[in-house]
Amino acid sequence: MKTLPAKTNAGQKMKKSANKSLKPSLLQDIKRNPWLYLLCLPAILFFVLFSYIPMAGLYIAFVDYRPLKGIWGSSFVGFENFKAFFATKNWITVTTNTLFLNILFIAATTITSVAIAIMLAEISNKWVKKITQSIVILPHFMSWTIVSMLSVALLSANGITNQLITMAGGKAIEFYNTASVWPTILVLLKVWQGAGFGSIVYLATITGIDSSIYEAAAVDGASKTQCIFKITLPMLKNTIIMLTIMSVGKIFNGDFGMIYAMVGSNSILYPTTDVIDTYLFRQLLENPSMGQTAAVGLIQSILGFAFVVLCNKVANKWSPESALF
Amino acid sequence: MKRNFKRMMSLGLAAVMSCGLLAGCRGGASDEDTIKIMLSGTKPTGWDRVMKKYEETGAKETKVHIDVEWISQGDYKEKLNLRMIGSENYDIVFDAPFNKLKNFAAYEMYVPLEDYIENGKYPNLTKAFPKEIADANHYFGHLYGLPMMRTYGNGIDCVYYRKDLAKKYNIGDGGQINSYDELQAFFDAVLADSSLSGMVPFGVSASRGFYSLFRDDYNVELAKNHIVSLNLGAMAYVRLNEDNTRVEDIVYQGENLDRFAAFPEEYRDGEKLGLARLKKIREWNKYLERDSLNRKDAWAMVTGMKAAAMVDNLDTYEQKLTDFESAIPDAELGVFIINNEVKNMQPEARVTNLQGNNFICIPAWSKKVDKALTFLNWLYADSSNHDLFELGVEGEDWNAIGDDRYEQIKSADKEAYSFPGYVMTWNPNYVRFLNTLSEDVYEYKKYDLDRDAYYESPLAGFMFDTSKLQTESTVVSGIKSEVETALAHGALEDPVGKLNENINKCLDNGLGVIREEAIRQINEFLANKNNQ
Amino acid sequence: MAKKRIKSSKGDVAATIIIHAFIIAFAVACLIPFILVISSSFTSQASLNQFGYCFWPKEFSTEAYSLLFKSGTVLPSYGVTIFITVVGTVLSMLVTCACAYALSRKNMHYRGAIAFFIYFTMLFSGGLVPTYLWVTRYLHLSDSLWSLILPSLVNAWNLLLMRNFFNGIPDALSESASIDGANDVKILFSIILPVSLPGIATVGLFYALAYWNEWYKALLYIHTDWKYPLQYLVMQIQKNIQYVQQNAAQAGVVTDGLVPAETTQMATAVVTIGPIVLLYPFLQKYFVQGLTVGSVKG
Repeated sequence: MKTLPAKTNAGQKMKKSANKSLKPSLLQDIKRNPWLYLLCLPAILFFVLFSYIPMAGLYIAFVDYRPLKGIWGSSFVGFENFKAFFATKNWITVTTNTLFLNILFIAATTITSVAIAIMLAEISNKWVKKITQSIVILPHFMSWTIVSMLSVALLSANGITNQLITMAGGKAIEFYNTASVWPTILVLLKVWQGAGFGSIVYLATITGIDSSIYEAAAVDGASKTQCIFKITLPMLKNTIIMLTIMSVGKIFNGDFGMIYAMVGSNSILYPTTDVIDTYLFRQLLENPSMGQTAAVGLIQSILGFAFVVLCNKVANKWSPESALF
Repeated sequence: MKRNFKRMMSLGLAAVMSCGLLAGCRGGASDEDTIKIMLSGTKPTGWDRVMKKYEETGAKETKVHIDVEWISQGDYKEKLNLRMIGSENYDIVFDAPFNKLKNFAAYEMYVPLEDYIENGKYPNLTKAFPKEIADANHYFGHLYGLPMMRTYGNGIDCVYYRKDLAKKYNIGDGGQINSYDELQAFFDAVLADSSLSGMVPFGVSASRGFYSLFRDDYNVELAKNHIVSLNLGAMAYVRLNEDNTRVEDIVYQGENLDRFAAFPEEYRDGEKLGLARLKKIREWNKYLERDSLNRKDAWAMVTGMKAAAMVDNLDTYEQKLTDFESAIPDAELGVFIINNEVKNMQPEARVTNLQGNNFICIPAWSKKVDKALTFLNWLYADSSNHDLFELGVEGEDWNAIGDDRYEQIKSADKEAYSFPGYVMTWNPNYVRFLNTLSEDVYEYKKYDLDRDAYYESPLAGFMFDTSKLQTESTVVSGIKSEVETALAHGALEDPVGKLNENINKCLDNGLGVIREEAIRQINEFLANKNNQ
Repeated sequence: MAKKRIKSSKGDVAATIIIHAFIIAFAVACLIPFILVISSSFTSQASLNQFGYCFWPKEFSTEAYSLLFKSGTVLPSYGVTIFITVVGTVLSMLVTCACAYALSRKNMHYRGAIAFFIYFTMLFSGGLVPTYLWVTRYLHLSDSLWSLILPSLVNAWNLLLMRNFFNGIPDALSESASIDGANDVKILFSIILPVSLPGIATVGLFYALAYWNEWYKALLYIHTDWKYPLQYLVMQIQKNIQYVQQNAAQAGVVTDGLVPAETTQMATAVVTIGPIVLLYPFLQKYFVQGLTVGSVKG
């Protein structure tokens, strides 16, 4: 008899509603599953110690921080630290850029990572598989400083790309003086850098799929393409959704490392590439302020959190297995 | 016998132990102590030898031992920030306006030293940091650090260029460029030379752009006319009254010209107040590469034969010469000193505010302030003490040549001792020049150190305190950054118009508040200065 | 795992070709920059300035590497890095797998709340100053090797990912074991873990890489020379060169010839990536060929 590939949603829903009406109190649950809660304890302790206690320091966003007085002794200034960011209309541009770029990043890297994982799994030659798998993770380890140096060689006015364009008869594009092309460039760079490494997770998930399913499908006469779309992808669904929801939490945090290394202080490119983090960095360059940094960070976190809760609710309705919490 | 022996042993042991305890006691009978010092840089080769020598000489004299922690320059700012915020145990630290000094001074995190220097308890420090210099380096009313200075300026600005090419095009006096016009002729020739594929006339880096080119041309003239240029949120011109005791107005570069109406007539069109320069570098933008806004290293362009010239200052001359000769052996490195008066070594050629760019400070919570000052007092006592740290052990690391020169002792297996003087030892009283410097560079360096070569700014000693203008300065910073770099490269059409637009936007968003505060602070500063 | 050979349809052949073409193209796009990096690390700075990036050094030179390995503390730092990687990964995996497994069990009714509690920390953080003060002043971890391990012992993302892997294991496995009388800890270690090798390999790899590349915490917390991990030294050299490049006058040092700034940065990239590229093939077998979950028959 075939083993079912996944628990059906219907069965899941029944279990869930059954559980809801009989959900025990926390103490009861601990009594019933003492070992399970014990297994959680070290991790919970860790997060209390290294995340929740320092989190109290977020108070710094509401004070005029003087190191000698400490965070708690500094004078309370309410929302003063939040004003500078919103003072001019720039905040709209940078927030839009952050959101827009991050959505593109998440979508593009997820699609490419999944595609790479599936393709790697389909390759039958052991050596080709091993070698390409090692190669595609390489870009992940290159720091953005180095990538930006290579990019200058690629994109400068007399760089490789332009040489190819002019050879083909076209007109050279001044990449570093044209803002509109940069979202595309940044997405391509992000995919190049992260898709290979990101495919590891999906590859591992695919490996965990029972091969007898594929054998049965082969017996039933399914083609390769059908196997991919009808078996592999649904099996990856949970992982894809969960990872996407986790990424959504950071959707208001721009990729400072990449954008600062690539764009630097080239103000011509700011309209399409300036994100919240790079904008804040420039604002505070001459006169740093811990309070203002924390304030903007707090806003980014709260907005990201709101988005995650939303996405998680949607996931809970449609595909409870893959919800985050 | 055995019992006696045992008793003697235990008594002896007790005696030895109590001696050890006493020796370890701080502030006890021996009065010896160790101070912790944090400096920026890599530990110099031979540092241990210098420390040993110090133990034999200085430590014996002053009873102060020193424990120096070297922190690499790339990390220094961040580590200094964290350790000071954490109130960690240091007695002397290096700090600078480009690190955290402005913030930490405003937060009173360093010991104010003006009384210590003046009261005469540390005579060598009083001598090394005379009142005029000490006063000029007050931050917000106090001397929060001892300034490590040699020159009163920021180095002699110059353009390094391919002299061999200048000779080829017959520019200047046998290839020696002596004026902006000759420089422009050189650039035009490079542009026209088709044999130089891929080489632009002028290489600039993203963050600096045209930098000091055309920048300081009118400073002395302005200062003599009671106008001081200063960064007050944005580039500003402070107009003082006839006897420099009061602020008449502060105008920003690029502001609407009607605000300049009360200025002396020759400045009313704003040309000498930065606008002419903006137009000039817009004109010269054609001499740059197309992607100058993303170029990291301008000098590498020259050594890589991608540019024929770049701007820097004379302090880096030795390094540039070595680089140049190893990279392009057949070429010749030319130096064009952009300020004509400086080139001719005339007096009062540049304006100085007498402020240093590097300081040593004592954290406010240090419990060994007197010991730290005792050590520094020893350091500045005479040249043999001072040079031990700055140049190494005499006879092993260096030999004196005359009064003001020295030679380094190095060999294949012994690297030269190189101490970053700006972190603790730079002082006009104790300067020695390397004997390997060519004669004219040596003369220029001496000129650079000469007080008479400078004209003292009417606002020498003023430091703008922005700690209460956090929000405004952040907003203005953000707005300025929209055009700042591009203007510095001459990359924008109608630069004057763009700057004007930008400054007006700044004024609508807090620059006006900053201006008012600056006027108030400068007037207060001038009032205090004239009452002393 | 016998693969029955079925006649491939036309669609299958096309799919195979497309797959191979795309993968190879992508791999080439990943490989070329890396070759350029290696090649420029073995080039002299002067030739790099002049000719730019080439596939083969125009003027071969090891000056970048000699600068990199000049500092004498390389050997102890290797030891430090290996220590924190091994100890850190083991401890992290223990704590992570334990919690992740518990969160995957349906009979733990508050697992959603705990997952939320954990995920929340990914979004909200006190920031640099509060964390620094807390770790140094109150936890007294300043200048200790544990300051390189403990603050990042558990990564919320890794934990939730591990939970996802455990979710994929049929409940029947643990249920039948608990019917047989085993407690949850025993089930985890003797039954679940052996069957979760792909997940363990993945999350273990992520932790190991994080520890191996750790340098920022060293900058914050370490004072003593020999306690610096390898990656910190590498970063330090890189930052110093950049600093010297921008502040040549102050450095006061005159080198013989061009400062090998860019080439050294390339060399640091090679030194960092090298060990990973060499070790990764050994881990691949866990991704390429996992254990079948064939032990439960419906």
